[in-house]
Amino acid sequence: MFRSSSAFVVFAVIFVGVSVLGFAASRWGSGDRTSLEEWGLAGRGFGTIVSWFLLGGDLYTAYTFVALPAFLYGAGAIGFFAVPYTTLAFIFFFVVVTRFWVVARNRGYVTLADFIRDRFGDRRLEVAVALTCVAAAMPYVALQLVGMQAVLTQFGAGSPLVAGSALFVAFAIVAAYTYICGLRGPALVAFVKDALMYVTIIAAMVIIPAKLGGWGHIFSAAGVALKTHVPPGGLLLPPNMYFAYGTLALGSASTLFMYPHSITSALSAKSKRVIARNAVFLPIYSILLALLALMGYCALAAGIHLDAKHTSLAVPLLLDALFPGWLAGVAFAAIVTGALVPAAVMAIGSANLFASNVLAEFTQDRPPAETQHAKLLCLAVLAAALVLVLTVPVPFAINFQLLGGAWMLQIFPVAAMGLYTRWFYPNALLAGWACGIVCTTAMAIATGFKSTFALPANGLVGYIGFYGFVLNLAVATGLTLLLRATGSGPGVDRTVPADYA
Amino acid sequence: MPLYARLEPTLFGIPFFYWYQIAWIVLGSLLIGAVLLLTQGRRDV
Repeated sequence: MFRSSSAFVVFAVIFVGVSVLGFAASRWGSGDRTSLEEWGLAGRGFGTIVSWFLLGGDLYTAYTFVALPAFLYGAGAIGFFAVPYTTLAFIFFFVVVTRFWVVARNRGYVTLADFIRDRFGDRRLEVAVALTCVAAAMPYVALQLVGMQAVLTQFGAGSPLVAGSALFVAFAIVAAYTYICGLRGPALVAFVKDALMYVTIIAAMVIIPAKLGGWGHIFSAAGVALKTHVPPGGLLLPPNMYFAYGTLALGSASTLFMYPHSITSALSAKSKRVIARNAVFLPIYSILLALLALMGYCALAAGIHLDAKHTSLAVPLLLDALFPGWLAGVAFAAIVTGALVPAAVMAIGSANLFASNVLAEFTQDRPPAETQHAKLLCLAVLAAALVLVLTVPVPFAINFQLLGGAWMLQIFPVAAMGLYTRWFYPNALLAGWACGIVCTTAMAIATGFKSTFALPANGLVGYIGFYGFVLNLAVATGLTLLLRATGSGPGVDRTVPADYA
Repeated sequence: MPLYARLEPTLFGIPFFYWYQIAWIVLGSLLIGAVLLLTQGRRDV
């Protein structure tokens, strides 16, 4: 139980306000809500500021804000890979996503897999991409609830029943306004979420180092505490982890923009320039992310002891110990709304994919039936995530989320490289994708779901997704050369160069 | 990597490994901004 009842009051007031705001979004904007573009992409009408809040709100999720400090708290320097990761990710936003936005607008795509269908004229490839994205997003949605659950469990005085029903109510509210308002619901709530996040982190930066005797002391105390962990961690990486750190950062950066929530938010921008500007201004959130990651060390320095299974409580407990009650309430509201925005956008993105690229490929239904499918699927995704969190142990969901990231990297040759070149043959890409998925999954199982793997040949430790990607690309390249040599055709490309300009 | 995997020099008590990478967030953003400004005149970015 948290110390202060004022924390709960502040939290409850903010939460009610946010819910009202979510429903108020139904009055925002006009347009035909039965079209998937209106419901799922807010009519592609968001300007720079709305996009900044929305993208910031769903890329920097509550899970990241809880799990990242927990990672540093438990394992030390390796957890900081998220910082170069998000720095690199915006180069991809600037270069690749702007190009995707143009072709999506010119040809009316709502999802990444829509583009694959046209570009490669291959439905199997389209379905493969769509299912990979949905499979990667599902555990991610579920994990958003973990941060929420951490906060709600504390309020529920440790009673799982109270926390469970609070989680259910919170999720039902989000599901309802997302169903009614589509993407505009989470977009409006994102303003509040981000404001709460900034207040919390800036306050934390002022209050916490001062109370713990300054950064110098925090780092030395954290360094001492990390050495006692099993396996021991440290403030610096051991040299054999350099390659793992680099491939984790680069590999994760190359997948971030392909996730359904990134694509959905990016396509809702009203121009290419909006995305380009956001690649410049979104890194402001990365600074918050880095500072927040260091909160993991603050928790160590503050002497908060948690076993390896409960590290996600590091930040909530730290804030509860060092913040005045009302501010702790603001912080907890930030974590909870921070979970709801990305969960809603991820659910919309996954539902769009499933409705347009899986269901629609097997039925004759077209809009507006497609929109209705997407809306119902969005509810289904949220419900499934809730069930997942309440029934599956948290480490299992985390494993799946990490594996999902490695899977996402396997669609890079199709989705990202496909934006620039049609050199690869669809069959070769499909074979490469399958090899990549099997390879990363096998490595994950072999290491007990770690994101890094030591090559048997030379012991080089690297990111499993990266190794899968190398194999994937080798297979795709080799088979393309082979197919070319046998004289078979590359298939149909329904896009023309003018679509990309 | 060996380039920045070190503790010294510290900044406000934060080891080099950490503040160096935080500095790159800002630098990266400035570089993208510069590219955006430079290409703006030439074509519709």
